[in-house]
Amino acid sequence: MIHIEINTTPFQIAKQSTVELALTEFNAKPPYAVLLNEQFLPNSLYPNTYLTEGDKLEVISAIQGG
Amino acid sequence: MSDAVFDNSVCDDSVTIYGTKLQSRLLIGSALYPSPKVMKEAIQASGAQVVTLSLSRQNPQANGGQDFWALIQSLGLHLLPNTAGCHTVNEAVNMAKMSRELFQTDWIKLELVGDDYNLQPDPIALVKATEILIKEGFKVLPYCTDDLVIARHLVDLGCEVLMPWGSPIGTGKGILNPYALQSIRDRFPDTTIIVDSGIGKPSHATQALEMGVDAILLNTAVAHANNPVLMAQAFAKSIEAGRDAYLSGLMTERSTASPSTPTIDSPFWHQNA
Repeated sequence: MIHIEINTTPFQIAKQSTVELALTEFNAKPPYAVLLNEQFLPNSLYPNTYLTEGDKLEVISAIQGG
Repeated sequence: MSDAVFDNSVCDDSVTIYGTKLQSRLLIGSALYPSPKVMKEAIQASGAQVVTLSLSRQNPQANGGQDFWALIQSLGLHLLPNTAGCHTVNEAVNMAKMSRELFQTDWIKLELVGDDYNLQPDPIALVKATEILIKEGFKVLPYCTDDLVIARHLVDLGCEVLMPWGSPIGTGKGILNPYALQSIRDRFPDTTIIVDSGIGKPSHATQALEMGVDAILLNTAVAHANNPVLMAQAFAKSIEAGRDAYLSGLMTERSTASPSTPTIDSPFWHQNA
């Protein structure tokens, strides 16, 4: 297992996990966009981006705004 | 009276945002309403064709924002995502990229906070972020102050829309510096000018439109009204009035009085009076 963060909360996931798997285990609700270590990660890269110890993932969705 | 005929049928008095023509000159926010139902009704009552929204970390236990998203989609309006809360160029650029993917639009209301006291835009970071985003294909609508030179930098970078403040976000103070706003209007006649913040009441909006501003973006003044739906209607009317007044041509202000009623040969008229 490796230790990562999803939306600032500690999260454990198997080694060699992809972002796509992490999103599934997080139970992310579409539509969303993703930051990996504070950088935008296009959704086309979710299946082949592998997470490593200490990575910070953020799952972002729509809210009200002015 | 003159029999001169005026063409009152302004066929295409639309406002253009990067090639998209809009009939409504009111852009409206989706925040701060007392309930989702009131939000939807107020937005519809405003007649706005553009609604702003933003991004936040998702909480899957709270349905991940899906209810809000479904409600926004049901309105069928153009979406204008913002970068609210961003303090750095990197934050704003990444937020814009997420917005583009999620909302499927190149439009981005670029906000970069330079001071937490009045939420004044950081003009230097704003210009830097604008340059990056335009190169990446975004259609940037920069929230800026009423500084003419910053406006020029933004236009030179390719901005077809400027969104100067009237006063700081959420203050409702109206247009604090009409001279500065008028300068931006006059210097960039081909740029769409949208006053983006500080509008507190319909007369503020009318004032801006009378000055030749193209449109108003507002949120708090409607959402915080006791009756947001009625206030949305009031703003729609005030903006229409201001626009009509601008197109009509305002009279020239004078320092001395001039009677409107003809006085010659009025019952008590005296030639030497």
